[in-house]
Amino acid sequence: MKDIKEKIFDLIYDEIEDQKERESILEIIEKDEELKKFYKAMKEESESIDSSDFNNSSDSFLESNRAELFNEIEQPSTSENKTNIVKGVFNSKQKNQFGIILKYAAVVLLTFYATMYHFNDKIIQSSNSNYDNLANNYSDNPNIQQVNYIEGSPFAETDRQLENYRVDNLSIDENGEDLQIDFDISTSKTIKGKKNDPAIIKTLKYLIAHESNPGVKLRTLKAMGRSGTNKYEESLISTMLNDQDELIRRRAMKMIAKSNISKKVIDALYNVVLNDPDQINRIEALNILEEKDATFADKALTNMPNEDNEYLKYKTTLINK
Amino acid sequence: MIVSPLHEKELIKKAQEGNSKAFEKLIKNYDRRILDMLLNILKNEADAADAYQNTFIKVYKSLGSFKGNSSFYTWLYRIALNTAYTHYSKRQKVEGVFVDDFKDDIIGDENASEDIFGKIDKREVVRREIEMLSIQQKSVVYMKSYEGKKFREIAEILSLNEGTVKKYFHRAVQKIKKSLDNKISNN
Repeated sequence: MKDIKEKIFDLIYDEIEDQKERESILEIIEKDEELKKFYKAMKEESESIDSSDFNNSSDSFLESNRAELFNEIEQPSTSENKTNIVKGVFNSKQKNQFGIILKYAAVVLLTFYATMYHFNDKIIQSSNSNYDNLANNYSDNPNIQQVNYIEGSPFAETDRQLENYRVDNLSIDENGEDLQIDFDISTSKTIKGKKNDPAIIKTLKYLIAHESNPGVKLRTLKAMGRSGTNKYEESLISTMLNDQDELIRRRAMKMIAKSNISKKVIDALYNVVLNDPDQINRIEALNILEEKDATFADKALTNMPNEDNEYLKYKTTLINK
Repeated sequence: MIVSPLHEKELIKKAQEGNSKAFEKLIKNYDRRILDMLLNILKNEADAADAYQNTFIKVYKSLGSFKGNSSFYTWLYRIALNTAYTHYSKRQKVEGVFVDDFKDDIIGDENASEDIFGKIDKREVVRREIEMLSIQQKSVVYMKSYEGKKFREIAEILSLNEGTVKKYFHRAVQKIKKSLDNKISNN
């Protein structure tokens, strides 16, 4: 029993990669009430950590640290000389203060240099006058005023133009209200706005459909999940049915399962149970269906007469009994 | 920029011979992930920046001793994590009283994880619980739930056995779950 419980732990935390092994564990669980309870409890525990939130370092923070490091590595003798001069002239308190000032000045200068180097375009500050200019530029969309444009406005351009930008980073602020999407650094395009701003919604929809970097896609899904809106339903359905990456399809599916489930979603889940090439996705979809609409789960199971998947085959036999 | 394993070997060799450009390329391949980790473990930019500098200076100075017994990233990650641990314990010694007071404040402020309608903000509860974990538990939770590392990789980085890492992780998750349940039942 201890051994199987350890395996259940591994299963829940994605430690088991072998599909057959995963299926056989699920089958064992299904036949034992105590294990079912254990599995459920473990699953709930693992879901609690799903709400965990971690931060990403910004590009400017990374660049300033890099600049300081590489400067230190390339010129160790100079910095040692400086330290010696400082040692000779100041007492320890003054030395500390001077060191902090020097360090701060170096970081400011290097950050300034790095910023000027990368961002040749005129930086549009979010001051009132610039904000007014931007609002005027996009006056055909009144909601656009909610967005704080930092530089550029890729989402205000056509989708075709948006294709030209690669996303370097998508960050979500601590309270989950603001999103910032940094496009390829050389293009100087960054957008920032409230999670439910129409422009942000449009960009996230674009990203989930077209972005090639799976990391960005996963963060896009996370951002969509945070929005608490049903405006992404179509995008999430399309992702869970069509994305090339099974993990992305699975995440989209889990995301959609957390919202109010519509008939369209039920149909899509039904489709996943029957047709997804990934066996885990099929099982996950079935579990969701069983919870949300058992009739459709049963319907799916009765529609797989030549099923190869052992777990689904077993579930089918239960239905037919 | 992703460096292929073969290219990485070349870069390591060149960097070991003192080529600073090769070192720079090597570092740029991983330093964002390292900085993210430091930021999340140490929880403020100033400490993360110090630990970043200390980590990579150590890496630069001891690159000659890297024999390739583990992957370069595992070796680098281990150095970064140990630097973070040292940094954290030094800070606790210096600011012990302050840190303890701060912790009491966090525990004492029962309503801080509720929104204005008194509804529980799960993420906030989880964030605060993670904050309260030991630095070892916090790093295991970070590596597993954010970076998606396997327990065996985490065990290798921490030089622990896999079972111990699983225990660390499970205890942390149980603690978070318990706190969430308490919050919900008290609400």
